[in-house]
Amino acid sequence: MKKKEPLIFEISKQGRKSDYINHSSVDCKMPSGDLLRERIGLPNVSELQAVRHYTNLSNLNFGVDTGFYPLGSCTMKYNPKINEDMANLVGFNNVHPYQDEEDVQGSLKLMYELGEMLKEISGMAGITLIPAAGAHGENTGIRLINAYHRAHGGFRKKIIIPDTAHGTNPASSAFAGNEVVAVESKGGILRKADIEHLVDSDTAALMVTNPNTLGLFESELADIAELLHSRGALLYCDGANTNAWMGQVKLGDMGVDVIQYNLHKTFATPHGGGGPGSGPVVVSQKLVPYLPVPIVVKEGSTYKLKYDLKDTIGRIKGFYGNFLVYVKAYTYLLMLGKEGVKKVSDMAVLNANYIKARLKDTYNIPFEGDNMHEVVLSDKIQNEFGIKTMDIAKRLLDYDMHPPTIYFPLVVHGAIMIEPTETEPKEELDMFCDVMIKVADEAKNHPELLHDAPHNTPVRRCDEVGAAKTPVVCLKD
Amino acid sequence: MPYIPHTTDDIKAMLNTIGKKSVDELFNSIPSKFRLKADALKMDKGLSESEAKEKVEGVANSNRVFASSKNFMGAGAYNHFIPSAINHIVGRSEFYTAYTPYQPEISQGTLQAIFEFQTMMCRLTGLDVSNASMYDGATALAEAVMLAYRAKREKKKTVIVPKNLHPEYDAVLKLSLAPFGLNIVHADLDEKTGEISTASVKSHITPDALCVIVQSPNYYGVIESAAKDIAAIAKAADVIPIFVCVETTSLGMFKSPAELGFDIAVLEIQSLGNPVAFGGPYAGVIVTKNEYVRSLPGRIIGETKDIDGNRAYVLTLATREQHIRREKATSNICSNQALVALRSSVYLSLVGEDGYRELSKTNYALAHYAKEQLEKVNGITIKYSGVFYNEFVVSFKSKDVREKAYTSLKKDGFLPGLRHGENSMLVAVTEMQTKQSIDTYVDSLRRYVA
Repeated sequence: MKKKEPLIFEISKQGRKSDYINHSSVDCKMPSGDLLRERIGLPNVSELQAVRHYTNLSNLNFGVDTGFYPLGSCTMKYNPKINEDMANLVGFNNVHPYQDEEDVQGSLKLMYELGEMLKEISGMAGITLIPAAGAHGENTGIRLINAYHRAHGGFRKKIIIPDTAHGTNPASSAFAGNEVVAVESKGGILRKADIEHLVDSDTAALMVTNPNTLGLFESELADIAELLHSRGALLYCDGANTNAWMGQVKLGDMGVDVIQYNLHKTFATPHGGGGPGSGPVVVSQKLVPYLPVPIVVKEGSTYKLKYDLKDTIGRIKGFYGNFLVYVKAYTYLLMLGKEGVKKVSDMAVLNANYIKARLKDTYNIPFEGDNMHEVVLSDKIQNEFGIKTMDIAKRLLDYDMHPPTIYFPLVVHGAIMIEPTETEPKEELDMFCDVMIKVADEAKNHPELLHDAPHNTPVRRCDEVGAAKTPVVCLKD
Repeated sequence: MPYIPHTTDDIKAMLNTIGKKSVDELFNSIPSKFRLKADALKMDKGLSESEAKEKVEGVANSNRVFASSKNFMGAGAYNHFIPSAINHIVGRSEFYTAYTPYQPEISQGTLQAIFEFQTMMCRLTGLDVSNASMYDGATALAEAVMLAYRAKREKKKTVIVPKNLHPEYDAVLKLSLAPFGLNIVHADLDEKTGEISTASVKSHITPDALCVIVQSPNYYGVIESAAKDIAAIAKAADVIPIFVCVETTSLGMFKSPAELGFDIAVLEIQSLGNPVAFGGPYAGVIVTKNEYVRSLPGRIIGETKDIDGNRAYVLTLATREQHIRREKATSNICSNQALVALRSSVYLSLVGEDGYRELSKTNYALAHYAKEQLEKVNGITIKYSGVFYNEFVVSFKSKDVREKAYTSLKKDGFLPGLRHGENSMLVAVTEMQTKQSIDTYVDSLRRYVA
């Protein structure tokens, strides 16, 4: 297999023509020349050249279908093939978003039913499917909280965020116009006592990730919710880690007011090399009036897009969100059914704990506790031999495995965050643990193997500092 | 239960290693009073793949699909031809089951493809640097205004927005900018041409003016023929001109934003190889000048070398981003629309320079043929006189006439366009139509307005 592929522009040749588009069947005078442009600089390649080019590029990639992908916080589970087929149906693809409601009942029904299932899983009262990604959902959720406060005594600026929250949370709050108050969670779990002194009349909400980024369930959440509510503040829960709790508990029962889901994590829609994702937001009753428009409602047996919500925050995105992603999550949820939803979290948590049990004598576990769907290790033991997390991660590449998330969460120095997901067989988990143990042994006895890793990948360690110092971000014509 | 590989023995062995008696015990950190009973969720039982397929196909079938040649609806989502090779390439799971390319050694496929995408976006717009994608054109525009805001050190707060901007873009802007105290002022339309009034833009240029947005083709399909003048007027007053293009196939023939003097361009790339798909996923992109690169939101791919001296691509300038800069980041965006961008890259690679330019001209020619035929119909007028690309506004004598025509055309299998205002309709004509399909449409319309 090729390890290098030229840029598509480097295989282009002037005069080579494609034949995809109908030639115009009418003649027409073109507009005046001062409106028109000259050469653009796009490539001219044949279809075979294009197909080979992208096929060769794909071979330089690593996906869930390629091998074990235990990227913590990202829930890289198997993406069932039927989901892709369903999302490719003409009945979904060739439907314009502005067609009359009577002509899009299928799309609306799918959105409505997906919304109902997502509400049921969390025990929440309302939903918007529209946010395009987790961070978009977070920002939407904080805006809903702000709208609520404006209608109940006035804007509150502060969002309290523990150090075990997801990385996007502070920026998502800032882009809703809020100020972030960071709080340290001692011992891994956020205690009511940690925040009691911080919650005041300017506190809009606490934004936690549950289970948090150490993989631990926030067991004091209900008490924390009560405290917040007693002082007029709300509770936001980042739902990126829903794979740990769905079917086990409804976070709505614990007093949570907002959760964003990541369909591209928990609900098996693929990550696409970075997107598109989908970040639906479910809310408690008190936030329902502020949901962004449009929302999908069912009147009798007819589905409708509702825009006339008096107190809506407005529109967060064009049209109705990443619809084809909904199709995939919907198909997946139909197949899981109620028993499957619980089975997923059962097995996801079992797998993470199994990895922890197998690696706990080899790697440092910085925070003790009952792990849910992921486990965080650190490089503390390996530091003694001059080996860092980065070296361990790069060495895993030589064993054909995608490294875990590294250097996150920030509360752990040299973090190695492992999330196996429920779809990996025991054999794969064992292989990973065997490799991790072997790498720890290499760290002690052959540290140079790790320092120089990876050895066999299409490219080796890259000069990222140089890339940022003098950015080359496009090919000059 | 599908996709769970463990046997009963596996589970036993694993619990044994862990030192627990049951899977349930693993959840002991959830307070017991909140634990759900096994059957608590009000959901249906799981379906087999065969049952699920039948059900989802049934849902899809209850949508009405209009034949491509009979689809005259645009307004921000355009019906263009999608070469077969795109689905085959983008359907390679090495692309679609990968995460954001954090580990460059095993992600060169995604990284190089995005670098090529950035290059294509730079060439379409004539500008220097493109990000790797945003959620869609509307959110990208809001982010572009924030980019301008940072570039002017958060001192100027008035955003000049044209009245012929896509209404959903306008709504998203309003919501996104509100927390930062930015004021939106609307520049008027020239009611005759459908273009933005240069005089109105001028009247809004005050010392507090931050940026001026120009959409071309605008929401009514009209090319902003004075875009270049507006950009020049803006820059002379230290106002950043922002170009928005929603129908990006138009850039195959019309001057690039850079040629028109714009420093920031926002593109919606749905038209480039992505189905209309009930509104998404689409993708937006922000392309700008080098001087703004460190204020740009979103992922950016850069070229570098590995330790062996091989050319390699990496995520770069990450210090702008949320995971490093936290609440001081240039945006909170993390996941973007990478696969949509890949589709557009493949699309542009397949149709190529010549194909893309011809596509643009075909759209223009067919739309103008349609307009000329419609103009001849008694009872129909073309609302605006400005130069247009592939979309235009048709007015009827009354709302009743329009409704009658709309309903009747639908009965004939046409998706007639988008109802607009009291008595008008926004009509888009792409390369998916032919002279013949346009003639049939016009003939039907003639019958119904008579």
